[in-house]
Amino acid sequence: MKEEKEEILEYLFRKKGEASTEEIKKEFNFINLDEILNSLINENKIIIENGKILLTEKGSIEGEDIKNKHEFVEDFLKNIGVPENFAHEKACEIEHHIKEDKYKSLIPLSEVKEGEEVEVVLIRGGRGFVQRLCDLGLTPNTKIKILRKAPFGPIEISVRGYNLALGRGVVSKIWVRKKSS
Amino acid sequence: MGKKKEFVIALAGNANVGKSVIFNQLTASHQIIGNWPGKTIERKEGYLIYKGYKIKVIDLPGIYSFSTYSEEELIARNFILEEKPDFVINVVDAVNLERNLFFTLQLIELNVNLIIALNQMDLLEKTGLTINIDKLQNILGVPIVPTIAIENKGIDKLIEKCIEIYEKDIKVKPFEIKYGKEVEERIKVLLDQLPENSSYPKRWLAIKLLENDEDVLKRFKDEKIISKAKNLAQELENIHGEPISLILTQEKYNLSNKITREVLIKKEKKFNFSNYFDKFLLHPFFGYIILLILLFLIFYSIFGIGSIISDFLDTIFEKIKTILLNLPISNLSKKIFVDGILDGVIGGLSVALPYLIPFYILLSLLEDSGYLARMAFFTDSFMHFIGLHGKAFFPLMLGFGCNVPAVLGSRILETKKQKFLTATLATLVPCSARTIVILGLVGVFLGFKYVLIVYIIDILIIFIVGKIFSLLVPGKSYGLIMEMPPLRKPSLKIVLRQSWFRIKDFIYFAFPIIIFGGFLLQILSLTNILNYFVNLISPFFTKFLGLPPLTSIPLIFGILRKELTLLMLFSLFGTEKVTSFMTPKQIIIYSIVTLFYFPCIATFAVLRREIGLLNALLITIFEIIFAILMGGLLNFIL
Repeated sequence: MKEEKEEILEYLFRKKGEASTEEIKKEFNFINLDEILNSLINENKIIIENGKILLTEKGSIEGEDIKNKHEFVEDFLKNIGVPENFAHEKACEIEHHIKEDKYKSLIPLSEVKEGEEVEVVLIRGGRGFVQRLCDLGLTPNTKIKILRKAPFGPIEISVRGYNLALGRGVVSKIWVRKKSS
Repeated sequence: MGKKKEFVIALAGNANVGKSVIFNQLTASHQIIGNWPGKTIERKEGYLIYKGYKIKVIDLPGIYSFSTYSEEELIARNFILEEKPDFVINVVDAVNLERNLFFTLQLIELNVNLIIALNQMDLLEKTGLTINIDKLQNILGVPIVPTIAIENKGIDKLIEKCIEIYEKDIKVKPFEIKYGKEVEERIKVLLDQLPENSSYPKRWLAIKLLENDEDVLKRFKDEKIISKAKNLAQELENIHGEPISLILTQEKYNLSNKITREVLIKKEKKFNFSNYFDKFLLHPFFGYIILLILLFLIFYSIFGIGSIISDFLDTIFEKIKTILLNLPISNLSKKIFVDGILDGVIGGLSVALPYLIPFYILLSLLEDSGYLARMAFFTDSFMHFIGLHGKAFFPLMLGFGCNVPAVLGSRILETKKQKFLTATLATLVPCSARTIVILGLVGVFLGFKYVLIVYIIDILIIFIVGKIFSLLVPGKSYGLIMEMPPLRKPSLKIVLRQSWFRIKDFIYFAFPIIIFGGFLLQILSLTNILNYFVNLISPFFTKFLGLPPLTSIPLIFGILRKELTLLMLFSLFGTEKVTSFMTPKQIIIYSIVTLFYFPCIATFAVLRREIGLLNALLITIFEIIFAILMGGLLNFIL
């Protein structure tokens, strides 16, 4: 039932936290939909009011997490050449199998602090863009150190013994893993 | 014996490794700078005579890889594959061994006669490290010559090595790069099917087919092998979950990392000056202050020195002109040669060139010291507002002095789209000539407040045009991805030499256009065609722009140099009191039109050089229409 619950939370989150019961019934034709909804209510993740299903704060946080996870997987799949519509579908299946702690240790490079060392996990973007960064040495598992962050976004990193400056847009497309985990 | 005493060397390597310095040392004064055929990418070629040999040297674009995502990479690769130079000298930055070796490995795969120039060994030793050259030579199987290019050390040895190999007719046999088992199996399958007599190195071709390399697929016609390669590549992607080109990139990097660890020796820990200075230069507060001070100094020296040279040249040319005008020749030839051609040349020599000389010297200084990269890093975020990134900051800044260096500076941007955008915006920046016009008209007759308004309008328009063009112009535009070279003391000799080559180059390509422009304009005016044209557009000037009909003449001559739009206005109306023949509204319209209507002829010449004739014409036409519309709009709303 975990998967079904997650899908409903994600759907609600994408709908800005509310949807009518009708809509949910139409979107998810699970046999045990009532049971699932009740379970979500018991967990304090949704409430039902005047025929509308609303996300609670707790549900909203979880919904957002699932949505992020979904997008992460989808980007990853597109990145390795899986066609777009297929990537979306597959991402729905895979997202439920990702262990929370593993996923959480992945962060965009933009969120890493000055002076920290991280490992490159994946780069989002078109093939040319990804190849370009790889050609400069930012291949998966490469250790990089954040030397400094300039005001408003660009950062300077040290990679493979030299220093590289990356603009804000570029930085947000590089996903890294903290070394400790 | 009997062998021709001639061969060709191509210089290949990453950007900022001293490749150009080695090229300049090798070829000294025998250089031809041009563009690659059909491209706007600089091609440098030269030759040297050494011990009876005539050696041709080609400087390939500085690149990090031979993938096909940039024009430079494709040009370098195809040159090596098709022109088959006798030697490829790979200039390797010793300070940056791991990343440089990644490129070396790709050259090894291309199966060329390779020699490595291990450059900047002195800088490496300053950081307390050294490289075991013998060991590296043994691992790679490639002859290595250590060099310190800026001190001209090791350059002779490099050439002697080439001659030695050439005379003994040896083929350099580097080691073969082996990938993982799954990849090797598939390379072998393709190798067995490829024809023997292909003009490309066989193993390289097999690898590129596996990588689905666009350029190779285009040239390689055998559909059967292509589809086989696609299947094999798909199998590999299924195994690794990544595109094959990325897998191979990763494996090459792992290899270069392994080699680097084997040959790099730590001698002692030394104080890193570059990191120390960066603490100040890149400080979130002091960094900007330093930047502002430097910019002020740069402007001051470019325009301070520039105007001294400019005035000096002006005086000389005026004297020459007087002498020429007094010569006993017909008035017609005086008009054509003295007024037409000489005026153009004077414009070029006394306006563009004096600013260009200090500009080039400072640009080289900033580049060589490593500060230019820091400037780009710092200004990156606000250049995004106009759809560009940090590297475009310096060229655009320079545009305030003169658009010519600004357009030339667009070269440092990576993609075609970014070059085009930077060059276009550079032509809209109010240069010093336009500043003269605005101050001389708006400032004198309407007051400083209006000058400010005109400038604000101009800068707003640069932002808007930048934003719109960045959305409309097709092509790729990445964010900032730029190497930050360590700070170092630039060599004055190298800087001066480099500047000299660039200035010579400017004279060669810009002056014919400048002279021709002046000549053409005089012919047109002598044959009355110009008069006819002026009469034709005058009603339009009066009605649509609301300007006095005669003002079209200074605007036409302003194409040669923009300050003519002010000077000719005075002489045409016989008074410097502009308010006697123009209303304040007309002054504003006239100034705005002057700002935008046409990049001057020298700017046009460099535009053509940097982004191609067609694009240069497109921009020019766009700006003429834009200026007229702006003028019309102002006439309507004011």
